[in-house]
Formats: sequence, structure tokens, C-alpha cells
Amino acid sequence: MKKEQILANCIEEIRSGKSTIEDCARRFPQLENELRSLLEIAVSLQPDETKPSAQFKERARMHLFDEDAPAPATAKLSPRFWAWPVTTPARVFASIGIAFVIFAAAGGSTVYAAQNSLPGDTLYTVKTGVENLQLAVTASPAVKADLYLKFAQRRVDEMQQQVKLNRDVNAQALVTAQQQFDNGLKALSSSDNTQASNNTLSKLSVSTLTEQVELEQALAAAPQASQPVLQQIIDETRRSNTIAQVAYANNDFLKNRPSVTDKKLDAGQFNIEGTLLSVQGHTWNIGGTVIENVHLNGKTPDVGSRVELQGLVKDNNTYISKIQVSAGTPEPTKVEGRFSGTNQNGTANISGIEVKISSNNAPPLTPGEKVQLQSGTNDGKLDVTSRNNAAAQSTTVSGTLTAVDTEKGTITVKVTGSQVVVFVLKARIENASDSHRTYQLSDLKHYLGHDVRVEGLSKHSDKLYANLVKIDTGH
Amino acid sequence: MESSTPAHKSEDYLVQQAIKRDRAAFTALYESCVDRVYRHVYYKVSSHADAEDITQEAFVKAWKSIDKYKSTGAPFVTWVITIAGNLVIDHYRKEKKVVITDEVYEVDPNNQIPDPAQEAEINYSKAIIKEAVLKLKGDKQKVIMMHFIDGLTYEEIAGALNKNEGAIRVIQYRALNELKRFLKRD
Repeated sequence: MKKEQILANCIEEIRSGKSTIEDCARRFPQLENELRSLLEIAVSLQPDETKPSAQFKERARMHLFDEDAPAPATAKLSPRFWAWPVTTPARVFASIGIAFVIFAAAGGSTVYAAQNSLPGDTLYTVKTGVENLQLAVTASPAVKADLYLKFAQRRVDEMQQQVKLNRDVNAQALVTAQQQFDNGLKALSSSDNTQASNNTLSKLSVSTLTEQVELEQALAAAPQASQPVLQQIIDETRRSNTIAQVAYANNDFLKNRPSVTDKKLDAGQFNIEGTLLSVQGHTWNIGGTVIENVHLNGKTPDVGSRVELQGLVKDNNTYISKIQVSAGTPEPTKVEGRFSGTNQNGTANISGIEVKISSNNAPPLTPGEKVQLQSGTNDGKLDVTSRNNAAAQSTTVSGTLTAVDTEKGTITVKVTGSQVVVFVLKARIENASDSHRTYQLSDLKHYLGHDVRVEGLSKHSDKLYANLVKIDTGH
Repeated sequence: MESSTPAHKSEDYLVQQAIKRDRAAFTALYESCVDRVYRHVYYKVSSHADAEDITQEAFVKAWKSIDKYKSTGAPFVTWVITIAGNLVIDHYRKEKKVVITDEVYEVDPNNQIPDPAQEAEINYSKAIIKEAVLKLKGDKQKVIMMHFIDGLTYEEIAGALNKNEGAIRVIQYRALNELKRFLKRD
């Protein structure tokens, strides 16, 4: 079939709702990119939703048969109009201004109405058509990424709205959100504007955090038929949050083409602390545990120092998202991550890191279990100190404590460059290194600049609440 | 009145009657076409006042020259739209100046107040695409306008432009590619 025939068929299928741009593009892989871009433009071509006034129609009808119909008013300006010389540069600005005023007044109302539409509504195609248009006219990868991620979040918001209205949440919305998240990340990976990328990642990190909280609440209220889709979007929003945090700290990560649908990301997050015994190329030995293909945005710490790392392992690459370095003191090595099986050499695979576990009488670990391990002997092996095989993960926020407001009952946590305010008046406050002591909100003022982990988040009236704050006093 | 009976309301019949100078038949044609002609003109001139004047003049001209109308298989409205399209060109030739308007349009109170940032974003996108469409020349602009703005089928466009449907699809393909180039360059 000829290109123009394929294009024409696809346009008709999309307009009749039988297909989507992505479906059509994928059906013709040899034309995929060209087809997608042309269809995006085609979908965006819509008439202004404008109609002549009843008064005009009546007036024009009266004059249809006038042999001397009045000359058009365009040639003789009414007192409401005034002319501007054509030669001045102001013409350009004036044209734009006029266009904007008129679009806002005429075509605008439909588009505004469409902005609140949901999948299945008549105006929903207008909403997505405008979005596709914005994408089609955007060349900058950074701006395109920002748009894709914004639209992905709109899809997530729409799902929540559908739950509130007792509508079914369908799988197509999920697929669109996945594609838009991934397209956004892909566009970010080709952007060379680091600042713009980091701004986008920072926004994404915070918005996906609040979305997770909202979606978890929506899931509890959703009809059973919608729950699998909602659970999947919660998982993908969480992964999007993880990707944003890791990529914000380490832009290299985006080159690995992370996807929100990649379940391996769930198991790849780790914490490790210990003495940095050696660094060979990109291979680090931390207290006997080796991490390979290390990607760190910044200076490699000195051998002999004590390091505390947070990161993510993907495809044998270790991306460090956070590092704290202190003077070397002989303290045990600690590893925290998810067990995913035993390697051929007998070591345990903890979040993609090979860990030697000391043999004891404890029941064997099961894949998916979250474990904490600590070195107890000098043989380089670690003991399991904590394990948790609960599949459900509640939403948490980890970052630097930057403000405490005892009057309002809030703390502010800096996460990937953004400030997140959480209401913690009813929260329990713990210190990771002193679990016996009870802390008050005012005590937190002494820990400004320290890391905190806020758990049990919920959202009411646009405010985030937490029921547990853990202070990390660090080293 | 003959043309008001349901059996005789088909467009072909009304056109034939109008050619015979039946005012009632032409008024019926006007009623059925005026919204689409107005929408087409408004898309091109972005001014309600100008769209009203040009739409009215297009129908007056259509009545004056109805005896020259030849059916091509396309709906009657495409003929009036062609007349209106020529008047838009004349309008721009005559004007050659920019008009600043202080017209105030009523806002529908039932609609939510839009987010100004979102509003600007949408208007900007619409303005850009419209500007690109109006940059297209000849049949390319006609095909894009007729298909996407006027809502005509390939068959109807083929009739209006006296070409076959395959040729219309080729023009559409080329026009969309040209729009893509315009939009990328902007």
C-alpha cells in the first residue's frame, strides 16, 4: 500500500476512534516515525468551535437578495476599530495579540471544557489532540520531555478522577501513561541541557510522590474491576519516582534507557556502608563487598574512607544517587536491598550486588525479600539482621530536613532539589541510632541538615501527612 | 411553496430550484450552509466582524452567479466556501494593514475559569498550527482545510477540486509533510 493511502487510512481510523496514533505507527514499522509525526499534526488540525450569531444569520438572510448589498465592513472600519500602519514592527506583535484574544474568546471555551474531560468523554479527543499538537510543535528535547511527563501525570490524574466518579479505569489509559512517561525519559536522555533536565526530574520526583499517595487512597475506594490497573499505575508511578531521583543525582542513568514498566527497578535499589578498601577502575570494594561498573557524578572518595551509598543497580551498572564520606573508623559493613536469588558462585544477589552471607540456622531467604545485612566476623561474610517479605510498599519520602515549623506542625524535606512540606503533628518521631528515646517535633530543630525518612504518607485537602519520621544522624 | 415540502428538500433539488431564481430554495441552502462557511472564513481571518462580512458577501455573490454553478458531486457548500476563500484573499489584498480590535466577547459563565498558563499554552499551539496551515499554498491548503476544518470526505473534496481521490490523498500527504517542515522550522 502507498504511503499516502496508509496515512489516509490511519487518519480515518483515529478520527473514528478505532485506532490510536501509536497503534497505527506500530502497525507500519518501516514508516513508524514519519507516520507518528504526520498523524500528530493531523489529529491537531481542528476547526475553531465557533458559530455565527443568530443576529448575524438573520441580518445576512435579510440581505441575501439585495442587488446593492452593502460593501463589506472590512473596507470601512467602524468606530470600534483603528488602523495601524503596516510597515511598523508592531504589526507583528499586534497580529499575535489579536490572534490570542480571539482564540481565547472563541475556540477557547471548547478547549477549556476539553481540559476537564476524561477518557470516554466526547471532548477527550480535543484534549489529547491539543497535547499532540504541543508535542508536534516542540523541537527542544528538554521541553518535549517536560511536556511528555506532564501529560503522563495528567493521565494519572484522570484515572483518579474516574475512580471518584465511579467510572472504570481502562487499560488504554495505563498504556498511554506508560508511553508518555517513557517517551519523556527518552527525550530527557537526548537533552544536553542539564539544568532543564534536572528541573524536570525534580518536578517529576515530587509530583510522582504525591501521586503515589493519592493513587493509594484511590485504590482503596476503587471498584474491583479497576484495581489491577490502578495497582499497576501505582507501581509505575513509584518507578518513575525512583528513576527521577537516581537520574537527578546521576544523569548517566538516563542513557541506560530506564522504563517505568521495568520491574527489575524495584529490586535494584540498595544502601551500602563500610570502609572503601579499594577502587580499580569502576570497581569498588566496600568492606569486602564488591560493586561493579560504578557511575558516580563527582569525585571518587579516597580509599580507606568510610562511605555510605544509596543507589540502584541496572544491567550490571551501579548508579550512585547519594554518597556520604567520612573519616575511616572500624565499623561494620552494612548492606540493605532486595534478595533476588543465589548466584552460581554461591553468593546472594542483593539488588544486583554479590553478597557473601554467613551460614546460620536461619530459614533461607526467599526472592523479593527486603533484607538488611551486617558484617559480624572478619571473613568478609555478612549476617542477615533484618528481613521483610511484605510485598506492599508504603510511600515514603527521604531527603534532607531543611525546616521545622512547630506552630503549623510541619517539617520541610529537600528531595531532588525540591522542598516538600509534610504535616507531622501526629507522627511518631524516631532516631535511627537511638530507638529508645521519644522525640518531639521541637527536637527536630536540632537535626536540620540531617537526612530524614518520612513514612506512612497520606493526602487530605492537598496536604501531605505522615505518621512516622525517622532521623538519620549519620556519621 | 414547493421547496419547503420535505420530499423536495434534497440539496440537488434546492440547487436546481435556486438556479431557476427560487429565493426560498436559495434561503434554504443558505440556512444549511452558513455555519460551515462562517467557520471556514473565521479560521482564516480570526475576526468575527470580518468573518461575518465575508460570509454575507459570499452568499450574495453565490446568489448572483448561481446560474454558473455546475454540480461536481461535491456538496453545494464547497462552492460557497470556494467563493468565500477568494473573498478572503481579496480581503487581505485590500486591507494590507492590521486592525486592532476592542471587541469584547462574552465568556460562558458555565465554563471554568481557565488556568492562565494553560490558556496561553493552548492558544499558542492553536495559533502556531493555524499560521502553518495558512502558509500552505494552492491545493495543499484547500485539501487540508476541506478535510480537517470543513469536515469533507475525500470523495467530496475530489469532486470539489475536480480530481480523483488518490490525487487528494497524495496532496494531503504532501501538505502534512509541509506543515511538519513549517512547524519544525518555527
